Amino acid sequence: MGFTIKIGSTSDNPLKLSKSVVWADQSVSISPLSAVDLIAPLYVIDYNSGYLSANYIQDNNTNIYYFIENISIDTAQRMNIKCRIDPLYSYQASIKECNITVTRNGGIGKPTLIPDSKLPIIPNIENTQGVIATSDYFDITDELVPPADQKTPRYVVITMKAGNIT
Amino acid sequence: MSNINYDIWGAPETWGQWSDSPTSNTIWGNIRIGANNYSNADFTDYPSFKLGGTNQTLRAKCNAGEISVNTPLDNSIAYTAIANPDLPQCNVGLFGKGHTTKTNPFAIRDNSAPIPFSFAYLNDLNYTYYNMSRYQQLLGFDGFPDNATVIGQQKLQRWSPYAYMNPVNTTVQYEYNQCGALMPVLSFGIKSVIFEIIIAYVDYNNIVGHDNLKSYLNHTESWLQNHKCVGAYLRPYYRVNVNGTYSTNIPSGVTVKDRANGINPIFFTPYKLNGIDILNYSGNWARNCGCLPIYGNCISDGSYQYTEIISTYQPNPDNDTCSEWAYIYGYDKGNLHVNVSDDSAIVYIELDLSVAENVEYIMRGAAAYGLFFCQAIGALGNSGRDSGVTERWLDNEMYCGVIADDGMTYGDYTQGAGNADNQVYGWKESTQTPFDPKNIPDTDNTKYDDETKYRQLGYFPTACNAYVCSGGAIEKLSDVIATSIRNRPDPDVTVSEYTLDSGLTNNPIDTIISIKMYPSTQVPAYGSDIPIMFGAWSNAAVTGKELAKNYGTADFTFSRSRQNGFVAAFGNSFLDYAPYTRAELIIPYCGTVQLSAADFLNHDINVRMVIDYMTGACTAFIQRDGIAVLTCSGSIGVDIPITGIQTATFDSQRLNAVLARENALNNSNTSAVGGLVSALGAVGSLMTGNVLGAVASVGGLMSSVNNMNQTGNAYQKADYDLKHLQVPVKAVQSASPLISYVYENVCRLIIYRPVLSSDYDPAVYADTVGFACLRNGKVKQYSGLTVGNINTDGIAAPEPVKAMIQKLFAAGVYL
Repeated sequence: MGFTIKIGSTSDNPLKLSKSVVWADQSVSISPLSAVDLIAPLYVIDYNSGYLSANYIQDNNTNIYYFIENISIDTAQRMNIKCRIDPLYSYQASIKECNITVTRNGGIGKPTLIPDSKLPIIPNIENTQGVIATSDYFDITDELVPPADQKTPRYVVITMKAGNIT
Repeated sequence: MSNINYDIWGAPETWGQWSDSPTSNTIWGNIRIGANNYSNADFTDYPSFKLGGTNQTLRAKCNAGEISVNTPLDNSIAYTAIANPDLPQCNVGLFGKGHTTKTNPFAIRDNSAPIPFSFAYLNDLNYTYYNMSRYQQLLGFDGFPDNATVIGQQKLQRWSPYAYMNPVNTTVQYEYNQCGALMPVLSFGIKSVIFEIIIAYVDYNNIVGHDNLKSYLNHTESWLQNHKCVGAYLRPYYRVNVNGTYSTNIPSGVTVKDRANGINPIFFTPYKLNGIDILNYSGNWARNCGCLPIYGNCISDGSYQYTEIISTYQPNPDNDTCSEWAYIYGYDKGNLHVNVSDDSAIVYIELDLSVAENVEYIMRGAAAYGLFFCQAIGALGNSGRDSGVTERWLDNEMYCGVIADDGMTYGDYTQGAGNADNQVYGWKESTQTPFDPKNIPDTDNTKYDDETKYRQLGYFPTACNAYVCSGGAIEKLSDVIATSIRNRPDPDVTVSEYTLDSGLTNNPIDTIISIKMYPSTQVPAYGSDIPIMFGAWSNAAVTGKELAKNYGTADFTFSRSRQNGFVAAFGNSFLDYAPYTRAELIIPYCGTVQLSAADFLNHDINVRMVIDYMTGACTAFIQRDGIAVLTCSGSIGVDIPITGIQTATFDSQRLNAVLARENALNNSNTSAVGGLVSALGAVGSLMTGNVLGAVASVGGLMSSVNNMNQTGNAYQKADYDLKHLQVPVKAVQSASPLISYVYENVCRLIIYRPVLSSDYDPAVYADTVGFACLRNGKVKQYSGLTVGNINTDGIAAPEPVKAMIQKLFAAGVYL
């Protein structure tokens, strides 16, 4: 049983867990000439100009995905494809089940109660808002010396009580 | 199709007014909530509601500043039916399509999957739709599932079917734990997103009582009032079906046209909850929260009665009467139809429920309710539905939406045994005991209380008189004190004429202890005007009422329901709290108190100012949710200086002067007699030849003349002194500052909030930096840029690969 790989291309951010890949129609058989590195393998395949623009590979044998780091063509018209593993896409199913403590997240969509030192707060500038309370009892006069038809302040006069001398 | 105008919370006044024109009232400035059973209906066929009409209550609230329109959508809690000032033509809609019929209104329960959704759109006449919610973004969705087949005229640029309104409701729904027993022990298939779960499953006898529900809804209103973004729920009619009998709560004969003429169905009375039928309650609730979480249509299914959560009603276009049921969503022929109408065509998608992603799509939508729901038909069976069992919450078929710490739901859920870790699970037990998950219960109710009890002070006895009078009385005071001298008998040296009573009345100015001015007409007074007693003396010209109480209170209220400054402006994030957000409470006559944001955000702030009318002192008790947490003291009474005659002193001086003059007069008379005797002696001596005696007598005469002159001078002096008495005056207290009176006579809360850079774009920030958080879970629970520490346990990869994965997550991975 020979090894086969699928060659494709993706425009997704390499840091995305799931990627959209456009695969070539045919898998490509490879015959390792030497030991194949799992993390950074070097695949040697027959020249195909259609693969020159490829940037992604799936190893059909291991179902591991690789970024293509470089393609070189040797004198024997073979393509030497230098790869580097994409651990995210390769193990995405397992990764999704992993426990994680998230310290930053874009999906939250808004600042949280955790202080965020990177948020662009303009120093020394504040918005000010004055909120007036309702007053349901204290009927306060507007003027200290108002016209006669308006409310007037009240005075409290305390005087001596004569008492009952007799 | 007629249109109906209603006031809309937060809507600009310039929005449309009532018009009978069916075309001019649509779209612009409208909030339209409705549904339509007609496949080719466009917006103009929807019931539409406009500002104006006869009920201006909500508008008045808006104009009074009780409802803010200055709220960006992004800061809104409830997006539904909220006007966005930045989008003055923004309409908010709840639309739906239904597939149920009058003959089988419960089709929705069996094979329909109602999902409420809402969106806003710009009235740019191109009917470009914009998703008004950011929750879909939080959920990581930016549109339909990839495999959804979009059919029809797709004009929705972005949308989301998630129940945005639900985050508004979940906290409330559970606050009194009413819903725990209402949980959907109904058996739904995955096709069914639990809908009746909230209030829908109303078994009046066994599950939740009318009173409980009423209380629950009452609380809801209160809760919603405290959120500024509460919108208006508007519905022209609804119809109830109790025990199989259709009826209407709209006064008989009231039609849309009548409504236009000012005949209002009671249903539209804002916040009129007490005494209204339960169905109205649910309607009120829906209306208050501006969305359709529950919907007051009670329908019957055998022995059960349900209140439909999401369903809409519309008048029959033909006769303006209620005749059709319409549901937000329907489930049809094995696929979920999400229908959206625009002006010319139906846009809908089909979801193939054999695709796991679509199932997840619906599951998260259901989870957004923060309630229990189940997936598989038959797991609990009809018996579960019918008996309302609560023992099956941990069955593997049961799911429960996760309510985050911020009270929102984000579509996450727990399953089976995992439900035990869901806080909602803890609320399932009781339908009777109110439990507010937001509040930590008191550990000892005998020692803790949730309200500061103020002692009621009355008028306590004092050995003085206290009067409340006007400024006019004060102005007369000096005059009448001066007149007191006139009422006194002329001093005639007969001391016995002075009685003890007169001794108590002869110096009114000395009887004044204090006079204070208060900037209020509310100083508690008792009885009618009576002469003010200065000791035992009074004058009818100076009157006042007796002071009824030694103290008074003034309550200032910062209610969350009306203050646009009380919401967490930054989505209840760290920016909403110290040191980023802070506040000062300025209390008149007392000063400024520093408050932390935690003191006022989501709390009612009251200031009770207690005034001591005897001393002029005041103390403000700053209450947070009824508990006094801070105090601040000041002075509100202003001392008024009073001057007046020292009547007693003056009287005494006058008496002494009179006596002196009389003495002088007596001395003068005595000298005159002596002179006369001396003259007579001189004459007698001469007659007797006693020259020496005559000389001596003449000398005596001369001396007597001198004495007469001297006593005459003394008399003149005494008379002069009497006529030129220096009137002794007295000033009672000096003036005290009243500068503090310049400040407004209300409390004012000054809120200082941080300012973010104008370049700040939350979406870009989320995509490139991510928001700081500290959350735990599984990777699959998160979306977007995610930075964190991952445990690679379970990944069958070589160690170097695991190390790479850890390193990648430490730097950030897009999920």
